[in-house]
Amino acid sequence: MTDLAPAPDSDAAPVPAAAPASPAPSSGPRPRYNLENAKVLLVEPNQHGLEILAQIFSGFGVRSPLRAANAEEAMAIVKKTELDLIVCEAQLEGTDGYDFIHWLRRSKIEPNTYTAAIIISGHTQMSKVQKARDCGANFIVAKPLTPKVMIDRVVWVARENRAFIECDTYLGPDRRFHSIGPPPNTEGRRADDLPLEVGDAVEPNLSQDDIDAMMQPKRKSK
Amino acid sequence: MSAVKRIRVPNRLAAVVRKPGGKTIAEAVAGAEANLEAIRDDCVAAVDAILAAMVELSTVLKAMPTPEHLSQLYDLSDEMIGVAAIANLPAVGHAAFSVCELVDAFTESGAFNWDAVAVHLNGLKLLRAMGDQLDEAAREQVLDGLRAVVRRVGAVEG
Repeated sequence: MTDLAPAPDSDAAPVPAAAPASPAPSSGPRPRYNLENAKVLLVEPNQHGLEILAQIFSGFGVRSPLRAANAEEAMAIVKKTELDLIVCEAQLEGTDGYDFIHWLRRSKIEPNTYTAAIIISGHTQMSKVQKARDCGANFIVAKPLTPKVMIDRVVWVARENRAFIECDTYLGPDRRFHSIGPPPNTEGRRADDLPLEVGDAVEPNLSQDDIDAMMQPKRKSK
Repeated sequence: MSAVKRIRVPNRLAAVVRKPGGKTIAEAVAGAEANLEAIRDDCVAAVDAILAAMVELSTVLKAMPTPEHLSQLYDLSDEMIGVAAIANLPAVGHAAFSVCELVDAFTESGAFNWDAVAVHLNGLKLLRAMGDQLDEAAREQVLDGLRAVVRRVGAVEG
């Protein structure tokens, strides 16, 4: 990914690059998403904000979302319940949402340390989005929340297949989202980063027949 | 070059949502919107309570613009952004967003401008009190004015 791609729309700012909205309509039956038995933890310090979140997820079908008003309560739940999704407000009293997700990723409490995490925030200026990306969240969604944006992000997170990256300074979903290589004007930090300069070919190009033979191998007749 | 470990883990959420049953996107959205409609009146009351708390805080803030008080103003505004939309008062939410921007400008510069806060509080009160009586153009005019104040504060202090 470019380290920070523009938001796909005005309501949601991605931690990774632009996420697709809900699946494109097709002529077949519309996909269904079963959140009935999903263990979802909602972390929000304000009573009304928590109620709004709970009503949204209840409307999505989640039977009994778990609720926490601060990071300490959330940590206690993480330690005793296997979770499928965490939705966490950035502004929490004491330990904030970013530090909570950072703690989660470094906690080594399996499987929760790898649980999908969405940060929500009323005020998503660039520095906050970068903070959300770097703390190990899967996504940041801007308030005000709308059910459409929220379900799109939940579905997107459910469909994503990013590896987790662990290094000295980061543990979380791979932030290089678009596979466009290392950031511009850098050589890259990973052993498998390829150099930007491409050298001259060392062998002659294959002919189309050679390529066809490789792509569609046929048994040789005896 | 730091050592980087790639870890492949199963997506638990994916496994859960794939189970038979569930809702389409449209059904999920409709279910959530119906639930939110049921708490709309509570959210209107919450908007008034948050606004009252902001006004109360502002008297303290005027005398003592400490980082703690500014942080409280930011938190109240952040809460307002989320609640106002559900209360069907989006302009109030936009004005609250402008307060967050203003507090950020103060925090970055270390300076404080009471008049800028007062203008925002008056804007919030006006947008809440007039509600639908203000047409879209008038609401935008108020919000543009608040944004201009934030830009001016940022430019002067920055």
